[in-house]
Amino acid sequence: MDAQTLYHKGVQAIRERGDLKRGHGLLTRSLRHNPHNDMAWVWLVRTVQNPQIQLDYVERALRINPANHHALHIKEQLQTQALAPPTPPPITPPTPPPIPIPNQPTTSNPVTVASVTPNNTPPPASTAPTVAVPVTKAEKKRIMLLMQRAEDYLKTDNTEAAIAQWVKVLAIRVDYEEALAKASGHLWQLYYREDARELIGRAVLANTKIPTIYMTALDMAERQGDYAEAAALRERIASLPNADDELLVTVADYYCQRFQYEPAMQFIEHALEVNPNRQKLLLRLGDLHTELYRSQTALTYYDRAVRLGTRTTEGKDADQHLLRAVPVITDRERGSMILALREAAGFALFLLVMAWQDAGLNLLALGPQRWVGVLLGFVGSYLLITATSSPQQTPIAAWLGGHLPDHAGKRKHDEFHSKPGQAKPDPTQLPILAEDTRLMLGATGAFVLVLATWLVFYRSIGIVMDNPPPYLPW
Amino acid sequence: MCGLIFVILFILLVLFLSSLVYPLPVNDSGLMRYRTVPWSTMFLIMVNAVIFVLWTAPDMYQVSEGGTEVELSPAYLNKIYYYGYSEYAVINGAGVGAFSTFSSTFMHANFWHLFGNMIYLWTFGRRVEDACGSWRFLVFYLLAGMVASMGSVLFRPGVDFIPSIGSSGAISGVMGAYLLLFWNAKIDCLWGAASVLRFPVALVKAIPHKHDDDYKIWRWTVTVPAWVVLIWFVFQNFIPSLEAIQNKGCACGVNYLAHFCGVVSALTVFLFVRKDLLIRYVYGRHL
Repeated sequence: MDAQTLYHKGVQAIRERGDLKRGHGLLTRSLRHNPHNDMAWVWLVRTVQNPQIQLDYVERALRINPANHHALHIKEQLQTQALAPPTPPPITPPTPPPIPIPNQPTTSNPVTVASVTPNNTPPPASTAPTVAVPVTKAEKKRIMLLMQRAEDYLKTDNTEAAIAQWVKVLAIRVDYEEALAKASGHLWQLYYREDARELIGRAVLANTKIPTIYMTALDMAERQGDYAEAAALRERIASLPNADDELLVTVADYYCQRFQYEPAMQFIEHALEVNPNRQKLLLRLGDLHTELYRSQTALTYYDRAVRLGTRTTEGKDADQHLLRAVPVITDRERGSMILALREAAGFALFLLVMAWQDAGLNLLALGPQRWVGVLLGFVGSYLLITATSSPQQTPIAAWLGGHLPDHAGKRKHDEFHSKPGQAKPDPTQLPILAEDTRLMLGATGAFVLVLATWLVFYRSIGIVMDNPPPYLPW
Repeated sequence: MCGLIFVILFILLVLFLSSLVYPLPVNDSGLMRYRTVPWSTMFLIMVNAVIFVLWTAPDMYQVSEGGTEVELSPAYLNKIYYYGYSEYAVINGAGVGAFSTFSSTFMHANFWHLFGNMIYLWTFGRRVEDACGSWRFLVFYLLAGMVASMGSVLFRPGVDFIPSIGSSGAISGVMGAYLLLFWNAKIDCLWGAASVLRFPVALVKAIPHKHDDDYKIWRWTVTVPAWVVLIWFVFQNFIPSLEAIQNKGCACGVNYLAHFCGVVSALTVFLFVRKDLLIRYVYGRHL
């Protein structure tokens, strides 16, 4: 149902049947879709007894439409009550406004929790700040006082008064975790479930950074069968940069328990986009791919997990998975020029040692010819290595007209035909040198290496060519 | 035919007796990650064996003039001096000059010299080759051999004429590389004493394993951590190496200093190891 229909049904439930509970539920759902409906907030006032919450609803309505005379009237009443003696009269419900024609377009844009992603600016749900804003000293003092009062009320079994204190705390800080947990928990137990969801929903809409609040909201949505809301909340949880890995894995496992592996993997991948250094998630994602027989993809995630460290349990676990498989080669290694130069340095060192011996074990007597040979050896071996084991170096591969390898078909084949211990490298996004270029580089490199070998070993080559006679030192 | 069987039995007996006290590494039970055939290791073993059988061994012995005893032939000694690695030959360009750094690596003094070296190469070489790739392993092997030979001369100057032969310097490099890369691996060793000591323990342990066909009460080999075998090897060569440096040589006939320099040359293996393995190693993971 859309926000407008929910609103109409909610108003009908209150006005025609006097079903405040149902009306509250329908209006809350309507506001979750469209929190800019000022009249919905006005009608919501009738469904709750707590003056603090009532005042909050009225203020919300007035923030949306300061000229709403119903809201102004109720506010006036509430303020009068606050100054009146201890036994206040019941609040006069607002005169029911004329119900608009169903499906009539409204001026406000519908906003749902699902649309409130980090990229979208959320609607102004509450003026109270979240924990992201540091608490002032005065606020802290006030919060502590209210919390203490709530505890006192609770001791005397005056739950409603305690809830009122917690709501006051939430007016200062919309996602004050302890107050929110206690208020929503008690409201839920007292079957004011929509009120509980409302409190949690305000914190969620205020973009709280506290993951447990999202988890509570998720739990509530699921208990009430609001699966669309639950799915939207999971997305929000995945977007939290400070969400605990354990919590994220729990959410992912929720999907897995229902054999919904793809949504579980999407959820983890989403969380990894926000923070790629989540080892536990990488390990879980690897495990999920393993369960689906995608061993190659699984290895890439295990590899990423291990690269974050092997001292943790997750790191060790991931390393165990990798231990029986070929190490994953990633684009970082493929494209690394330093790693290619390292190999060339090995060959150059080989030639240097040869030159050293050819110079009669005197490094100072190497002479320019042998040094040139060593240098050429370095260049030649680099060309050879570029042609053979490192044809995807950046930016050389691109400079020399490299192209992206067509691996799509092969990858699909590998996914289904790879055997344990015979994992294939993960797909590359780096250009690779063309066969002709590699052949040319390889041939040039080999030629340069032969030339370099002759230059560094020319004396010994000369000795062997001269075929000296056998000798014995005696 | 009988002669061949006799020779094989004789070799096995000598091996068993010689490994009674000191463990002889015979197999690396670790995983070959790339499932490659160890072409370079097999090639090196084959070349060493062929050179010995077809070129060195036929000229090795001769009957003395009196016909009373068997002695080393001059042709063989000439080969050793011509192709062996010595300070004199490298500096003065005698023999094959600096080429002796390669030629000496493929020469062996006798069958047991060859056999011992090749069994170590087979045990440790395959996995290092797997980590490097065949071509790079070959370059690393030759580099280790060169460094071993050269080091034994540079650290012990003045022992100019005595040539050294054998692939043990290069193989020491391979062993050093194994220690660096796979220190936590397990090595199957032929070790008579340990097998005998294991027997009663295995017999008692066999009771709960009576339905397990794979459980063996008697095993010819025992599994020893690679680091134990290799550090013991380094230690064994380190002390005589110091002695060789101090005394300008060792009359024992073994070039311990070359072995030690070979082990040190293993540090260069990081220039040859596969890039994916290197990254894995850098991140402190098991290879």
